[in-house]
Amino acid sequence: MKANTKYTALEILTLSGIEKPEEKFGKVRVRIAGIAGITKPDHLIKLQAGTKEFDVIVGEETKTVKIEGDEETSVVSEGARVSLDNKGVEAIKKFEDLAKVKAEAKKEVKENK
Amino acid sequence: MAVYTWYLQGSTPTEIQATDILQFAGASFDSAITVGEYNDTTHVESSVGANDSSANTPNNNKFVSQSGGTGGDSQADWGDGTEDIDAITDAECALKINFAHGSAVAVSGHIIYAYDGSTPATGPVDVTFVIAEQGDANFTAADGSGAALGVTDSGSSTSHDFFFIVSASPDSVGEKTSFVLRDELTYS
Repeated sequence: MKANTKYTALEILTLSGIEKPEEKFGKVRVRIAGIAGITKPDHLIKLQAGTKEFDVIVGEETKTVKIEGDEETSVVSEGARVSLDNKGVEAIKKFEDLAKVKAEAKKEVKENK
Repeated sequence: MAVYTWYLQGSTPTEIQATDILQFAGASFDSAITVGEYNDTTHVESSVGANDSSANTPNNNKFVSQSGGTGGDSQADWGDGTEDIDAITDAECALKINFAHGSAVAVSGHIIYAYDGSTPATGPVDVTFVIAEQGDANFTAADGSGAALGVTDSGSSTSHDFFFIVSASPDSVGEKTSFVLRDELTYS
């Protein structure tokens, strides 16, 4: 793993050597790099530039994970890309909804003039 | 102790002080943006109206489309023509926020949005504001706290950098002053 990178929680557990990581979410405590309450495998976590190591706590098991170094600019892992693309679909819909509301409001103002 | 610092990035970053204004403008400082168009330049304006970023070649991120890019990605122009926003680098983003703490902390529950300056749930008046975190595929129309951009949780560190693509468009003529950016996070 490299710092200055966004990963999903599932990727981090997998790369940390946690066995059957996909079965842990929502069943036992998952805490990654100080972030508590992780219950979903697609939870995104950015490892900040300069991070040398971090702790992964899964249930009773704690692992200290070493970082290989920094990416030069922020990078998104493959799994995180999927998660961000899904977030994008929602953002497009919200953007379109807001545009509709604004257009309606403009129309009403014009009609009331 | 926690220290929050905002910057408009450029050849040299310009710190945005608490009383400063992040100015989205037309072709130059203090110039207007046509209604329905997006900013061609971005500046830091002091509380007395001075152009604090004039010597720093500030970055500009201009919204182009919400889903016209590859696979439905949003597009913006940050100086090299129209590109998908997931291709932007940290240094090319206009807005950088650093959150520093004396001891290592993790950051979660982080949101950022624009509002009218008095009620966080109310969006800016007559402005369309869009924002994306570096790496995002699409912009978020962060119009009030209920529509905030959710920022990626950040693992334990004494210094957290967050990079944002920001762009704004007037919905009507006239200077927009009921337009404030707000960033909220939890650290532990």
